[in-house]
Amino acid sequence: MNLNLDKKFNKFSKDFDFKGIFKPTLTSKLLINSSQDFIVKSKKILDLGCGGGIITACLFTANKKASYYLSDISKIAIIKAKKNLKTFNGDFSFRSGDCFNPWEGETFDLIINDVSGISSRVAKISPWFKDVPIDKSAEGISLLKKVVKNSKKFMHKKSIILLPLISLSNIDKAKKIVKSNLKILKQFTFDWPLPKIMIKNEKLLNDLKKNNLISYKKKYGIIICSTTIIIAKKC
Amino acid sequence: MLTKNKILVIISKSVQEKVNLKSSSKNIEGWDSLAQLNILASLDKLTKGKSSKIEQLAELDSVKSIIQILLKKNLIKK
Repeated sequence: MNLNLDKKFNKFSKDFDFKGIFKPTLTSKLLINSSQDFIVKSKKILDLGCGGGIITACLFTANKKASYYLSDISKIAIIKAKKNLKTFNGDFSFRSGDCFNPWEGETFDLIINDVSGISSRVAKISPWFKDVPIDKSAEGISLLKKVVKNSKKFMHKKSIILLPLISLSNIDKAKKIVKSNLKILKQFTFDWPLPKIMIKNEKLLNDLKKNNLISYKKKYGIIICSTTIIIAKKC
Repeated sequence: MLTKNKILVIISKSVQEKVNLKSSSKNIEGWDSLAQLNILASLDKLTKGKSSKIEQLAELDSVKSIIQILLKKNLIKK
């Protein structure tokens, strides 16, 4: 299914206000594209780690009938998401809180997890986490672990969850955590170039790679990382 | 050997939009880091690895600059 959500993502990236909150990255775009097969048939959609609300905005253009639930640990993000989605006239519920805490007792048809997880040591040298919470572990998988382990309570038999695994974390361990808690239906891996600004820290990256905390390859004269989008359901 | 037109086709396919000699990441929405990597991978495949030896290529984000460097390295027809 091609709902042309790429163009919507690019438009909202420009139009929305993300000042002081996490700015949408390729991960959000990949999550949106990977969710296309599940959007139309979902009635209750959870946008976990919603930031400024760009994922909900894109999904809403494809399914205006669904109820959207947006949460983020950052209260500022929730304020911005409300502001960015003000003119959309959709059925949106906004809550601030950690992981699934704001949604106790609810279940969802589709859960999109955009809670980012990369090694804390990489996060510190990256341009992505200015004024936003980071995964505190060197492996970068503590947030993912929390989401995966708690997710089952918020899913029914047919629920789908989308999880991004970034190679700037311990991706092998991350996959094991997902596999031991959920049934993986599909997974897609996308390569992307590491921002130039981070290449000056190649020694640190190399050390982390040697210790299996992150993975990447060098090709075309650049460092290539990857994001794997996992589509899973309850076991 | 590659032609300028073929380069335009490769870049258009990667950015999912028709490009011309004035196109760059500044005026083409789809020219993001993923598209840039697709361009590099396609050029690498078509030049049998020769384009990957051009250090500056990864940083070039306009049709004109990509064509210019490939011309300079004799990887496309003049």
